[in-house]
Amino acid sequence: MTKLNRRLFIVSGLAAAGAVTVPNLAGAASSRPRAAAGDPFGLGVASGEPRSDGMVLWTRLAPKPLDIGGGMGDRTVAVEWEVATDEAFGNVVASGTEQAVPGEGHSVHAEPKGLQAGAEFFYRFRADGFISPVGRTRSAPAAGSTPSSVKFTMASCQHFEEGWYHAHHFMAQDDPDLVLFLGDYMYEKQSGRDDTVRGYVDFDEVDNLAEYRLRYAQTKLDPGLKAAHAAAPWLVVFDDHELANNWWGDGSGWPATRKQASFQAYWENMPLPKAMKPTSPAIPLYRRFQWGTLARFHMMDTRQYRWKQAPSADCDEIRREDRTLTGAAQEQWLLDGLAQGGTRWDLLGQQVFFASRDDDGAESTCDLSEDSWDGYQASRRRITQGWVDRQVRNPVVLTGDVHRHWANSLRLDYFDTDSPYVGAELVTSSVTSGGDPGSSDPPPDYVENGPHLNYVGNQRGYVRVTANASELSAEFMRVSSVSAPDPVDVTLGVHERFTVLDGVPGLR
Amino acid sequence: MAVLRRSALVALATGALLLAGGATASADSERCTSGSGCAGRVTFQSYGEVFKVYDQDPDGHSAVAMYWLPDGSGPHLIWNPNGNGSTVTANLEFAEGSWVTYRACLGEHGPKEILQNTCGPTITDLA
Repeated sequence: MTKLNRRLFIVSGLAAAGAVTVPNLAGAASSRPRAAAGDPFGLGVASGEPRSDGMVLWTRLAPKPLDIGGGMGDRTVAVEWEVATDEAFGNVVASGTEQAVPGEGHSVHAEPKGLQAGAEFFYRFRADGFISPVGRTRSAPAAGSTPSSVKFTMASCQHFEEGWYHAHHFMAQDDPDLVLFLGDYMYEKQSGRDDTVRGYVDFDEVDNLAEYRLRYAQTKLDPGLKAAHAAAPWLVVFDDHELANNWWGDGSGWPATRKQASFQAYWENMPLPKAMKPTSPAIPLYRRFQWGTLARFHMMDTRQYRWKQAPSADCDEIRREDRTLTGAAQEQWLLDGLAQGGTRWDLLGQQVFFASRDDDGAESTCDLSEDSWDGYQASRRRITQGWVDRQVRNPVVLTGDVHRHWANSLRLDYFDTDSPYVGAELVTSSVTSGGDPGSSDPPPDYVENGPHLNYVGNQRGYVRVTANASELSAEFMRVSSVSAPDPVDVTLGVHERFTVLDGVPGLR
Repeated sequence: MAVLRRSALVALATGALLLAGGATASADSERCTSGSGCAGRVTFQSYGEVFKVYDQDPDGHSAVAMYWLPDGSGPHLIWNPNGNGSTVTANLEFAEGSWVTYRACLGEHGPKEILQNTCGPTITDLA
């Protein structure tokens, strides 16, 4: 581990903290190689995976973000990082150096250890004579401790062409403990809509590593997204568009080379640890995070192990008992985690709609979305029954994917409307996907057929959640526009609120 | 033929749009449209942030520059609808030390349609 020159780092870093990233000493700047003539930190900084003694700190060097290779060429670059307890970096508590290499898209995944639990930190990087913007992060509370509350936001589905990421701008202002991103961070295809607000530099569907990297780089240029990444640690899972629309993991639906390229690019562009770097056409995505005794986040993978979607309305296939969305290993991992107990809120962070959304409400027709848990009913029932059998105190499913806000109470049997509620689901709408909604907001017909579906909102925005020992409250946030470029022209409002009381399944 | 509609994005940042007679100023970088004939050519001069868009083929299409900026915006468009042999100059203002990524394309100026398969490769230059 290399110690930084504290004085020089701080002098340059203060300028960076003022939102202007400047070259370090004149001597260093003049000796910079031509390939690094620009600021390499244009993609921002991020943190994630908070543990009680550390987290992952991320950046990716790209002085020319929209060039293949990001303008870095084939150089290996030493990137220094430091963590402090104050924004002025007067009390540096950890530092080190990582090598940014071409084979990893010049991404950096620093993993400080030994930090104080339950504390706020500031971090930054230095490379090629430039200092990065300053990020803020935090460690998880100590094991066994009981934090008074946890505040997190959840978001998903941000087609770059379909709007500006004002939801992220506002999430950064919320000062959350955590941000959960539940999939469709990046889209592999052009929008196809005629009301887009910006466009991809690469018109084609991305399907190789260089193109995936470029698509992430363009996505990460959004100022709101950079602000949200710099404001709090993130927990991320992907859905389908990070690879291809509605892909499934089981079988040979997609070439292994494309899957590995997609997973590699995802790892490179997310604040994920080195241990998750793909070494094959697979990435170990499902994992768990503890927030003292208050909350446990089970971050799930509902793409890599799922069976192919059933044919439309094929009840026999949809109701096969061996059908799985999670794969057997992940299902057992989840049930084992749910059996641990000792935590007030068990939060299942995942991608696709969990509750039943049967279009006509008739059990015999299987008129539903085959890509969601409805298309894998035995898998859903095993997990739901699993948390009932294990007497999980407060299971809450956290979902993205569907470009609408939803609040759902969960049942074991959705066609028995007298059956008790056994959990709750919060579904966050899209950050941008779908663009600005029209003035009307008609609920789909199946809401009337599903009394467990408490709310649907056709908004762009995110969900803001605060949990304490007695309740979990969810605010479904709406941004007034994703087409206005400047966030000063955009307002944020609460479209709906729901509460889950401790020990009382279902929503209030 | 893939068509991109970007009528809402004919933003020219801050700057003046000039018509020029065809004198070629020195440029720091340039790009052609796809194909061997370079029917449309775009040059960028870092000093002063000057784009020039050249129409070099009587093909009935307009030459157009598409460019993207570090704030996540783009493509901004600079059209040359004036026919073969003409040049349009756009003198812009970018932040010092910034970058711009651009490519040369052909399009239909009336409906503001970019013919995506005519677009040449991108390049990034510094402002």
